Amino acid sequence: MEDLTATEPGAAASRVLAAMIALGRDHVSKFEELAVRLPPSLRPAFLPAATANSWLDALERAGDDVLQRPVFLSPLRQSAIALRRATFGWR
Amino acid sequence: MEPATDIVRKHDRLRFTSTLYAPKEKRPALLALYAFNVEIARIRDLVNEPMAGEMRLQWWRDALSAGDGETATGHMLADELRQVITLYNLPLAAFDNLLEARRIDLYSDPLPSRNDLEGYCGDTGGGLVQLSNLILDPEAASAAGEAAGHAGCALAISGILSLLPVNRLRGQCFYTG
Repeated sequence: MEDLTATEPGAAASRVLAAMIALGRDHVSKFEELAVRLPPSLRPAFLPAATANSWLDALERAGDDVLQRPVFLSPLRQSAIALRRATFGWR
Repeated sequence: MEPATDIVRKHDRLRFTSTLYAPKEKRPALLALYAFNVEIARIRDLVNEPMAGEMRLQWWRDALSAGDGETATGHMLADELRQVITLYNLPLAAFDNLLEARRIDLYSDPLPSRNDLEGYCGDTGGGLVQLSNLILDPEAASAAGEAAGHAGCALAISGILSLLPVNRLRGQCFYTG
């Protein structure tokens, strides 16, 4: 059993990180399948989640660095994703 | 006490941006809900002992369950949120779930399994999305519960991971693998 508090960067921490990123992607995938049927009226509630995949991409790129340094997604990128999904939805 | 708009703009930029795409008349309710989320999410950072955090969570539970007809609490956000709950007929049980899930934040015990992690993320992230749905379009919201759960989990997991160094510093581990 490994946890991300006690574990220093290394193979065990990488495995836990990879498992959590995979779990996050699984939920993104299931959400996006359902999101195509969402009415436009509900889009604002889901806009924060629209950025989840980009967060997970950034986390994957950062690798074990995420244990030492917080990962950021630029406000401009977040706004661009929100604008696109607010306009076009998840079709 | 800062107004809800200022709290969300300052502490949850992502959700603040999302409210700009909501109909103007719904924004104050969404901002009150998101400000409440900010307030309960940061309790751990404001207290030294879990018991003090438990008391703050209980205060919110009592304040919200008292209902809009009761005497004002004097807490700007709590009173505003009580009006929102009444106006949009939001289920108090959903707020109880949010508050109960935030108890996990107060302790450093890791969530022992994937199911526990998903439960925490569903109650916090997913519960918030579904409450937002009820404000935006109550008729459509009932069919969007599953999407809300997955969306909330996806965002909560990426949020936990993006703040890993902060969580590590305060000795909090959300998951054991």
